[in-house]
Amino acid sequence: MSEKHLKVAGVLAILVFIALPLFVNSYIVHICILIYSFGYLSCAWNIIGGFAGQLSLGHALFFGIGAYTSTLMLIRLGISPWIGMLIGGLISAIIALPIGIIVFRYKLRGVFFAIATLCFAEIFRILVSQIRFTGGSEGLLIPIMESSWINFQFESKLPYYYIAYIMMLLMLLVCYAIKKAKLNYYLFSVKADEDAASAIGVDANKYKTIAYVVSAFFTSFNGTFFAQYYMFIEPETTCAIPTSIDILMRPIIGGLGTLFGPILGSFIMTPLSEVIRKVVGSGMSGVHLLVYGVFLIVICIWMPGGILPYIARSIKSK
Amino acid sequence: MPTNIIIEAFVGGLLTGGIYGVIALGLTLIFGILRVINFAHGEFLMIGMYISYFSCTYLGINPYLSLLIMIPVVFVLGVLCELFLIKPVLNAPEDIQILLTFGLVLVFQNLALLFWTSDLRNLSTPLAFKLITIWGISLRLTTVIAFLASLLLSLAFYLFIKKTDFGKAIRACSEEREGALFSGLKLNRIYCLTFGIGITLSAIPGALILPNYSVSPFIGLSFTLPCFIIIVLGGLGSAPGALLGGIIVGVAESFGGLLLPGSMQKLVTYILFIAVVCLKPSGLFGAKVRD
Repeated sequence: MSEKHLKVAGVLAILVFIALPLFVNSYIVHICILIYSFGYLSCAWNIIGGFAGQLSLGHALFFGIGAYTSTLMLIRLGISPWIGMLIGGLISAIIALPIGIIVFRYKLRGVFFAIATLCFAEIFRILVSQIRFTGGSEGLLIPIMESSWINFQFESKLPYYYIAYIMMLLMLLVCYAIKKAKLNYYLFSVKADEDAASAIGVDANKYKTIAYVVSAFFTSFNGTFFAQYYMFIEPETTCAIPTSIDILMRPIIGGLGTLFGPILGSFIMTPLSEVIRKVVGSGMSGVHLLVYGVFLIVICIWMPGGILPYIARSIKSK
Repeated sequence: MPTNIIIEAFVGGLLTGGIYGVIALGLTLIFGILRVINFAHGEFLMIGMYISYFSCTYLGINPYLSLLIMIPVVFVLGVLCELFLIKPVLNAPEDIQILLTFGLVLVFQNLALLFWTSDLRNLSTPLAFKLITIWGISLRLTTVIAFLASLLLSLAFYLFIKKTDFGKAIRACSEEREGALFSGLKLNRIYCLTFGIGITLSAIPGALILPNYSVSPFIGLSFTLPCFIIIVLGGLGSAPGALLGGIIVGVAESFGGLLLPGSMQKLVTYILFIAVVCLKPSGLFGAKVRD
């Protein structure tokens, strides 16, 4: 397939997914919303995890900040979730900045960076579940309002479908822009060999911090979307460790650091984990995580780098 | 706050710290030889605790006797994991190794959840409630036993590493991989046995604290995290550092528990981790943390 064919196929795929909800039932629409929503999160995580090569195990922190900021602003101040979404993103970025500066300044890499980010997310979860203002461990219900765009609430699933879809496409554009920008070349050199990159004058800490803040900013938006879609948030589902795992699993399986890998990962893993949840029922809640674990081990041993690069390699070698 | 409460918290922390130290010793042994950071360390310990728990409840044996069943099972599990899962990624980039052991965490946790549910299980033996009083400080008998056994275990491990041929082979591998290979040591065999030994070393204290500890599928992280703090404090690959680091973490957690309400005690470990890895990345003994 030439590049031209791929472009045509891409445009066709975009059009097919626009028309899709007109032909399928609402359960499929729900699955699609989750696919796009996790596709978006995967792309956002991929900026720090893939482009910069720093495995963050704590993105639930920013997802949670997004969900809690917009919800609290809606409940306490009556401000539209759209504005809350933006402010949540800014708060996430403001919180990510000192975290990034500290962990990169002290040269935390690999497993130490991963666990440090996990610790920050867990501290946030514990605080949120202890403070009464944020609803404690019982969580917060989003008040039911009139179905409208200002309120970010709809009776039908269709608006959510298109919001999630457009968010994913925009996120893909952002990632494309980053990949083409100079930032990506700096990040790539840091990821390949940080000492060598520093030796030729690349400010590794600066670019890693930028990647972390950008990733946090965009991750946060989806927290708001999640809150408005499910109409309920609680510490255990919005900012606990399984949420972080959900965010990082798809890009790793699809193709770490590639543009479309995270999306592919979401298209594979999201329906799979939903089907598993449906089949085994709510009594055995950990089964989808078990499947993630098996996938992770298989990917690490047989196709390190993820499914997309693996497919690309096998097409090339033919 | 009365002095004896503070002293009790201190001594309690000291005892837990010794136990943490041995668990971290297993982690640091594996890192020193295989150069793999085992994210799933706490999960092996959790499995070991379940094995002990079930051999006590179903066979009705003494918790300490259950070690005879637990040790071989966990050792074989460790060896098999190394052979089939860790060995293929020994020369892979660090990211891949982290992700693989993280995959192991998910698999073990959720298998445990599937088979044994999320119930907290504890052995209700009368042994758990026995207190001993030394100089006016009351301590749980089982904790004292676990601490003393941990000290013995680290001593035995020290002698094993220093005096036996296999211990010498292990040290040779850790110091000079190629050299060890040239002198005819079978690296693959040493790697898988080391992994088995490291896992078992960490699982034994887990079984020892079982009489007054509840086991559930998700306790792994509450051991893995202190272990990582400890090896950063003590320096990666340093055995005396692991014990000293263990005591520091144990005492810090114990005082944190004294000051904070129950649901917030975990904050201490998280904050301690961030503080320690940021401020002391070279370890108390100056060993360099690998990038």
